[in-house]
Amino acid sequence: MQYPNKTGTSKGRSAVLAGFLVAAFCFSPIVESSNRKDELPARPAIMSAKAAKALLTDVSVAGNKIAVVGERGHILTSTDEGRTWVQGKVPVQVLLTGVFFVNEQLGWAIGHEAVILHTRDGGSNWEVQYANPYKELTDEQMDALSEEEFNQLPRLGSPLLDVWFKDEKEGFVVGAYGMLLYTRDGGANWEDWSARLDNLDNWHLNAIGSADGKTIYVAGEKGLLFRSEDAGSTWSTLPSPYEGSFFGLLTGPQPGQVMVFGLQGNLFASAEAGENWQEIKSPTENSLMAGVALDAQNLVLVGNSGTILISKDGGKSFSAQTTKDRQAIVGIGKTSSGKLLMVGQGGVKLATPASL
Amino acid sequence: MTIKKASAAENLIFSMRGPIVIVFLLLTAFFAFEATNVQLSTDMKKMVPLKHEFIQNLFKHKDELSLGNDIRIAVENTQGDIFNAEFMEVLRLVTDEVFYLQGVDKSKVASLWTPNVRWVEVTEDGFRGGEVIPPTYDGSAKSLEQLQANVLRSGQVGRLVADDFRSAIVYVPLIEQTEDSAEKINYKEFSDALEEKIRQRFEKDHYKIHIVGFAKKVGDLINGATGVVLFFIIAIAITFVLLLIDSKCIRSTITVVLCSVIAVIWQLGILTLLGYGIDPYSMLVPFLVFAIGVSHGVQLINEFAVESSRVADRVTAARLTFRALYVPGILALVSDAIGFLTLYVIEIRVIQDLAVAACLGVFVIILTNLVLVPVFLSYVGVSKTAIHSVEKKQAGKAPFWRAISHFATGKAATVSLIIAVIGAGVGLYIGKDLKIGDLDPGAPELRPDSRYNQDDMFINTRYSVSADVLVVMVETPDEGCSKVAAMDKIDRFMWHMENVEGVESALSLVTVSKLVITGFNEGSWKWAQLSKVQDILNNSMQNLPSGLMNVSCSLAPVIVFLNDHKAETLKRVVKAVRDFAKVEDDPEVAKFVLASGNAGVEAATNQTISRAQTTMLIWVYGVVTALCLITFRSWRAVVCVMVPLALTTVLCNALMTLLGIGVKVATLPVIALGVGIGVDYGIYIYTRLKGFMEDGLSLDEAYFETLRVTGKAVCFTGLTLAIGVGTWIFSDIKFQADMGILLTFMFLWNMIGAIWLLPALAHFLIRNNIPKKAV
Repeated sequence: MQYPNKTGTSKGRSAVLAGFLVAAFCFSPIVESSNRKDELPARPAIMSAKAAKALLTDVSVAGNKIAVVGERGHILTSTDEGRTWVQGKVPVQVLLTGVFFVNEQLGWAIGHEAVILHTRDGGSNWEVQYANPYKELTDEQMDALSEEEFNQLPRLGSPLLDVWFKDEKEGFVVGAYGMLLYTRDGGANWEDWSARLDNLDNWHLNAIGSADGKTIYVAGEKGLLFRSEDAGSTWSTLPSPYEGSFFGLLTGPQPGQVMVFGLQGNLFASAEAGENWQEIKSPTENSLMAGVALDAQNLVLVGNSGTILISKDGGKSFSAQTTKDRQAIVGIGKTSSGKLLMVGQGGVKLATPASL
Repeated sequence: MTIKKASAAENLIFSMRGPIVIVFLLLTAFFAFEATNVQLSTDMKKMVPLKHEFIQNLFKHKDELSLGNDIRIAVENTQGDIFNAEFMEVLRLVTDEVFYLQGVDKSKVASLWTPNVRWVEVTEDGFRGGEVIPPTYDGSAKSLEQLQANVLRSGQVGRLVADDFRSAIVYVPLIEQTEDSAEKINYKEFSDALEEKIRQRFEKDHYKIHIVGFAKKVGDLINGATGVVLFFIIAIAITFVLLLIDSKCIRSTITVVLCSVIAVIWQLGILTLLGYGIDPYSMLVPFLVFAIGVSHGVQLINEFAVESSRVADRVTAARLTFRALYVPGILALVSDAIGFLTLYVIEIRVIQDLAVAACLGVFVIILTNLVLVPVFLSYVGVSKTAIHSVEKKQAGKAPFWRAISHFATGKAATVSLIIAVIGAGVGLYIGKDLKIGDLDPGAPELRPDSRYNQDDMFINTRYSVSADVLVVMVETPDEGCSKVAAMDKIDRFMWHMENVEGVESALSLVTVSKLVITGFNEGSWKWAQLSKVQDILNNSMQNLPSGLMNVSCSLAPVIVFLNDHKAETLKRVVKAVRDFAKVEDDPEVAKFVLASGNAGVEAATNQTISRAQTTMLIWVYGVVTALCLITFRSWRAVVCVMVPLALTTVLCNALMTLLGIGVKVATLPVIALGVGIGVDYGIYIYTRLKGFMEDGLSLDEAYFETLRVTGKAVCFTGLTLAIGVGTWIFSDIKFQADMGILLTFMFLWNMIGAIWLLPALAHFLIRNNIPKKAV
């Protein structure tokens, strides 16, 4: 099959945007009040026995609680190390892309249509805190847009891509077309902090993470890397060792240590909080999507086509394995007993580190 | 018994014996010539209920919706994997050979060796790709390593390469067949070519060839059906021997067998003249016609031997034979024919054709057997041994029949009735689990252990394909199938279906669109969602594989893969589609219409059959009951004749349940055939019984005399009928074997029922109710 240009290049980007404009013959207002959760169509996720086997995209572990999210508004939680799953009641059917639990009760999930969902009961019931669903604008509405608003048009309906909470109150969400959202009140209000990053071209922000809650990293398309050293108030752009997309980042275990990885298996590490980077020889050409540190020495990275990368020396070198089914692995987490829980195309997969 | 006078028909026939023989022989030669043109038809259209809503929808969209007529050839290495030079060479040779097969769409053949099989990957600069077998491939360890890497990133694992990497597939699409396409694929020739040029040449050492696909299945079906011809010869041979032993006369044996074969020739010739072909179902009819012909022939030579012992003149004996038997003979044959005709209420062409062919065959027998056999006998006569044997039997005590006749006496009758009631109860209990449809996995037409089904199993377990496919046709306005609203409905429909028990997965243009959108986004699965932007959706479907939408984008099939084709699964899945359509159908956006795919056709067939089943039973029993009523003018007689038949029907259903045979196109006619023919026994026995009782005999004496006169003929009839259809049990075609088993059972049990249960019923119903005739 032949694919058109990918959207990652600026050429592709403008082509998509142009297409977007052509398609939008009847437009309507947007940008000023960016939380448009009331405009989300009410279509609760269907309770399904197959949800744990359908596409899943992220894992979060807090104490004994494991949460995974995926397509069609599926959110599932487990309290027995991933053996059995309970599906939560979710008011949307969109593809969810990230989940973060700060403790066994409080959690957030994000996804397409820029939805942010919240649970207070450990994942049984979810409510919408934020959304920015797709909407077509009329010509008049288009004409009335400022240049900045116009540039942000593609954000309508686009996905948020990663979520990280410092504690029960403060959290960040990053997403497509440069979205960065911040809450100081557990999500009751979300502020658009996108402009605090030097990302005028609105490249996708794919990952956010922090080891200590103070130094926070964001990685994205076009080799973009950002760092904040004041818990997110101000951000600086880091020098980047790579031109392509980063899909994930892993902080720690030592202070100042951070690893970023992405397209085509590219893999870089820094020991100095991202000030400079070393390329690590990657044993795969498949894109890497997520990673987890089991302890100071053992790291596991996962990615497309069933790729699993294992390091036993704190990330200095990696060896590659491939799952038998070769399905994409999109997220990985470590359970309270130290087992690995991977999610992706075929749903949940459990593994013990020894079996890798 | 009273001596009847010669009828006009009798006088006419016996005054023109010579011309009759000549005319019959000429006609036989003519029909034999015609019959050589008979076509074996495996037209699938005839095997489906054309009037059913699903099938009508299917035909409405047939030309715009190609579901593909293709063959998959798996080359297996039984001693290792595919990544070695020798295996790749075999695969290359098989791929090359396939191009030379007649009817193959050469441009779409795919294997690891064809340039249309490529790998693609996302890089910083966009997409990168190449052929799976690198241009520099030379069979060296290094190039094999490269090949392995390319296979892994090509996404062909599960499609062209087995999950266990021990076999690879050559995918062979056939040229589209339309109503008026010049070049029709001859499935038999194609299938034979596959065997000869692929399987025989390449299946050796540690390589195995597995072939599946519609064309191969039909080819195997034709070959299996052709094998049945041999069974016909075997059936003739067995019947001949049994007849000879029974009649002790080679002349009359040859006469009966010859006349019955003539009946078959006439039947085939007339069918061909009328433009009918023969199909794997109506192939049964020649067997039936032969067996029915023989069973009537037995009565005739039996009677002829009896008459010959009384009069010296052959012509007079033949006249007396004709006189005694032409009325009951015609009556029995007409009731057979009417019984068969009730099959016509089932709106499936092969069953209707079967009804016509069987009906015609039975009418032919009236001429060939009732007329020609006595005429022949009037020339050839009967052997002295046969006459002596008849005389001896008439004088003898017949201890066997004496023993059997006790079934008509008080105690035995009571016990018999109790046994019958228990049998019916057990039969009903077991038979309540009787299933509709085909129950075996794989191609149900062929035996589970046939080569085809083994190959099917091999490919199903090692590749991501399913043999059981239901296709839901999504109808939209023109250019509407890729609209955001329609795609959203299809997306939700697929998940709705995937959550139905028995559904493995679903595939449609939405599946492809999501994959391509993921590809647009650098292969990140966090983007695997249908876009709400129409242009992105349109872009994502620019290179849609064929068959996922029609040219005007007003039709998109959703292909639902099922775990099996059991009736409950189909019922559940069909209901789920209807539930969704009820809520979501919107003519402006999308309508969800049933059904295509093999499972769609089977669902329609099952629905038709389960509806027709009751109708057919009512018709058959209604017609046969009416015939009995007209003949005997007594409800007691009807009960005596019909209850044993009903018991057989109940037991037959129980047998089907126990053997795992479902009610389907092949087995539905069995009941009608069994009852239609089975009633003959009852009619013969009851007629004689009534006659003897009217002559003043008590019930058990009358029954003894009945058995002496007609018992042997009845048993012999049951036996010849059972032998005729019994050879089918060994057919390569599963449904023919099923028909064979069930018909054999019905013919034998109807006979047993008539001899054992009928007198017991008579004991309670007519012992004192037959008025004696004034002497």
